[in-house]
Amino acid sequence: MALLMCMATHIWACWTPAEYEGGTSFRIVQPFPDFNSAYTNSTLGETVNFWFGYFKKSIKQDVIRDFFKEAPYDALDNENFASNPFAVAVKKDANASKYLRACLMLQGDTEERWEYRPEGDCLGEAASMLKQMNSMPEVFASRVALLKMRVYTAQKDYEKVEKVWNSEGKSCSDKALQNRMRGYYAGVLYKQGKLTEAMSIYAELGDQVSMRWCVSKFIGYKGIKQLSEMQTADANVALQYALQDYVNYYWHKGGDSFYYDEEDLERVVGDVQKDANRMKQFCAEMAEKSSDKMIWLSALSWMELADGNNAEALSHAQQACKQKGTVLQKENAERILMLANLRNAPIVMNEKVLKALANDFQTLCTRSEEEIASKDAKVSPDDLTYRYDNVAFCPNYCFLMDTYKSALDEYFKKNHLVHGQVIADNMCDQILSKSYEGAASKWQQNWFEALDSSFGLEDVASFCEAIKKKKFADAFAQQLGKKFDCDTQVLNDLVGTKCMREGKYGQALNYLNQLTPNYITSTNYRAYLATRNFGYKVMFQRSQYKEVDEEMIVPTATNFKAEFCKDMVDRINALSSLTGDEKAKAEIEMAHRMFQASNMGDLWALSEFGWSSANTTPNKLCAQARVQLNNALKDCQSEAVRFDVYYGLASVPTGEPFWSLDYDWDEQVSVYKFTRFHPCRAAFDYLVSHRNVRDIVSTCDVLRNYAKQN
Amino acid sequence: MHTKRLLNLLLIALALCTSCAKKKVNTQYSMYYWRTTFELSEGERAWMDSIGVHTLYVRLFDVIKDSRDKELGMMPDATIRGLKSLGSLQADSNLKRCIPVVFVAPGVIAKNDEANADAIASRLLQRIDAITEGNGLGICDEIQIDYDWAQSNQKAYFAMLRVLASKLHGSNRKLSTTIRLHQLALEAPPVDRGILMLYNTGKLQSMEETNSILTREAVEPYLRHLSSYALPLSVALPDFSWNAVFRNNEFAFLAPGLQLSDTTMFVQLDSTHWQSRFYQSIPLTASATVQSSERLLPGDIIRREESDAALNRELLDRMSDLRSDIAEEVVYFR
Repeated sequence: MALLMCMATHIWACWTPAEYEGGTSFRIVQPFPDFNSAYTNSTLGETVNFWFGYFKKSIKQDVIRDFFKEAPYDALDNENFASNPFAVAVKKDANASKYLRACLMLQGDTEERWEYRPEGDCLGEAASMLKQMNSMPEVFASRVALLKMRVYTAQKDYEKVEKVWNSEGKSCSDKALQNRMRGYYAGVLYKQGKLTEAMSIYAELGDQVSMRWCVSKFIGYKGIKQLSEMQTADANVALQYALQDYVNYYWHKGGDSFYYDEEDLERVVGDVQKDANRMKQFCAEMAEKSSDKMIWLSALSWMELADGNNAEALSHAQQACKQKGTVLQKENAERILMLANLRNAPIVMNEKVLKALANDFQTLCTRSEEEIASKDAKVSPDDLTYRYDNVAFCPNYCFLMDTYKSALDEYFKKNHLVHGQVIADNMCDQILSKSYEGAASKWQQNWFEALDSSFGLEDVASFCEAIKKKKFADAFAQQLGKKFDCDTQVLNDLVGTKCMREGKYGQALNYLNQLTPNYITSTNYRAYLATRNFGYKVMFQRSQYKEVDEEMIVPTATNFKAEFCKDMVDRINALSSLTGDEKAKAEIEMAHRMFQASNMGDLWALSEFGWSSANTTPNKLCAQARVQLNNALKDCQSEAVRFDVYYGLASVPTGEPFWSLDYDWDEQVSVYKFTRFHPCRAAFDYLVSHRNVRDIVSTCDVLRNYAKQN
Repeated sequence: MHTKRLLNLLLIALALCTSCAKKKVNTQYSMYYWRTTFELSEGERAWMDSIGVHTLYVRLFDVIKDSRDKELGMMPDATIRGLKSLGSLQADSNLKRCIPVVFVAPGVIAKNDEANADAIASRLLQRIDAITEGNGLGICDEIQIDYDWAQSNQKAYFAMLRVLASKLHGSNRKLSTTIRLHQLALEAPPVDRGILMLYNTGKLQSMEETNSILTREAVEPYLRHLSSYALPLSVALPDFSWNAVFRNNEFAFLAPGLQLSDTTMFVQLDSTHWQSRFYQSIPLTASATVQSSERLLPGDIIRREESDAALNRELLDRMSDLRSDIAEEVVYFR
């Protein structure tokens, strides 16, 4: 445990951003975070920065970014871009215009648009534009060289690509541009069959996609052995990648796939094991004779972990950590050692561990803030996908949480720490989406959904209090809570709405009255409530509301939810002075309103934050409405009122289906059978026997069918 | 494989001769070309020559939902490249006709697109003609739209087809569409003719599926609509095979080109299933432009699916009995 604690408290200090791959990955080849999935963003960021500097910061970066995101190949002559400040500035500058036209024209060769240009037209035009760029100013020199490599690559003239690399790319002083040129040069090497050389460059650039293509020639035991026998630096890089590729796949091995019978099962398990054993043996041999002992021991440990041989894994990981290696390889070995340690010693959650977790979390947060800030300079700030894929916080935090998950879950559950659980589960969203989303979209966030759907009123109210006061039960929750950016208005709305759903209108007002006009105008439900009629008796006749286009609604600050609760409190208070039919009528009216406000009614936006036709389960307000109707049934004296009560009881859904549906294959018709002990049965019987059912069934197919069957 | 295909075709030709004897149907053979680069292998050329492919249906581009197009919200995608070589192919083969096809991705034409019918039809037609003319194929006398419509968007789709047909008819050209089996139960589209697609009828991603390319059971329930279907129909039959890879009982990917007969790498479980023995890459095939980065893992299940010439023949026979025009043209999807 001491070692475990030691690992847990310092492990993050030596971690660097790593690509997240299914929660856990073996990584010994340096990834370059701004490549691959983020390649376009990275390229775009570099391009935007260049033009921003070129025009001496006179044009906003956002304007330039938007231009490049949307510009078609003829953007500089396209009327849609006639007033674009960037396009206007470029057109005034002959050199900039010449260069940018060629870039856009090259892009046109693969651009999909309704106006078709024959294949190769744009490429040919870009190539002839390139010929007119012999005397470009120095600031464009490297860019023109890159453009040449792109054009020649598109023309499949690899000899020329290589020539430009040798004459201009190699000596390019702008590292970002040079890297892009190296990528094209690596493509030439790949085409020439020089796979290990190409892989070496891709590895250095962190171009994982290209690496994976190349490594396909060297995968599995045979390929890895083949690479290990080549004695070049390039082959060594390729070897490391092939090894990484193998063991990462092995981690997710398909050993428990579909089998036909016991014999097949034995055979396949045997095959899998044979393959793994061969590879493990090879790793052990390489750990003996190679100078890169760390990677082979780490790989061996990783495979043993995948096989559940935890003691062996621990021993290899401990050996691996004592060897020499790059920073990344050491981090990888330490991470494997941590996993092996955890697998060999179950975690007991106590104050000490929680404090260690809190420290780890704090370290992660500090690093993620720095990382996000540095990335913001390069990428579009609204690109959340990029953040999820590339900000190290997410994989590292997930690793932390995955490791401690069961112990933490048990701890939170035992101590009734809903806030701890919800916050811990949703921290990635919180960190990554910080300051990019408005109040309205918070309803779509996972933590909000989790609170609303998975926890009861008491739990959510205590969550709300803890967040408001920033006071939590333990060190870890305290650290998490500090970072949990949660609008208290949203929480007040949530708790108030949950109270309302349970018929606790007075308690709901304590929360709902705190909602500010600004908050209310920012909600998306205001549009639905502003167009609904609150007094409408939905049980008797459905209303027809048009689809609401939120943008068309004049903003309203009316606190509909508070008004509704206030009205209900008044009605409840008034009940005590009423008797007989009068009281029953008042109770029926309340039932109408409760039903209307439920997720089954027209005023669903009072009690729900979203509506789906797929949700056929009535919320608690329907049950409240039925309670009121049953009270009314006891209080009513006249037949007319009793009829209304029964009508209500027949209308307000209970969640139990009225019918079971069978299909008669002989007659080829659907056959409905009324549920025998359905709570609405008494009401249906009353309605059918006391009035001419035809008067009321025109809109009720359930009652019509029931009358037919009874 | 080539010999097997020729044998399959002979069987179909034999079956059609039998039908001919009954109904005097002269069958023309055609082929769908669905890849993004037009490049026929020698084997494909030989196959086309051997059966005398008369018409080539070439997918020119897809239409996908795309908000960059502010007016219609749809854009072309995956436009075919290398189409110029089709001209020379026409010159030195039996190929007589080329029919451009546009695949419209599911859901692109929405319920409320009825008002856009004219704009959509115009754009499609202009782009189709620009591509065929720009690649030396001239103006084709027929075009085809492939769209899996449903009752919900039928009105808008048909409105677009009506406009497109009227534009084409104005210059003596024709419009055809693909018809999926389930659409036989719906109203026929307002076009000159349809191609009934008899492939990809099953559930590729289901472990329980026996052959997602074509089974008798998948076709059977729809045959009752065939004789009354109010549109001249031809039929498209499968002539391809593929390997569906399943991992942990879930579909993972399609892997063409596996040498399943290599017993060092695969174990045969039954007539259609194999299991991967080792960690291995997916071989590069003639039709793949890039190396797949997918891997086969030990334990992965591979379901080999092949089109069945005997089944093709049987279904063609049955359909010819129900309506004679259906065997006038057989389009192979390869």
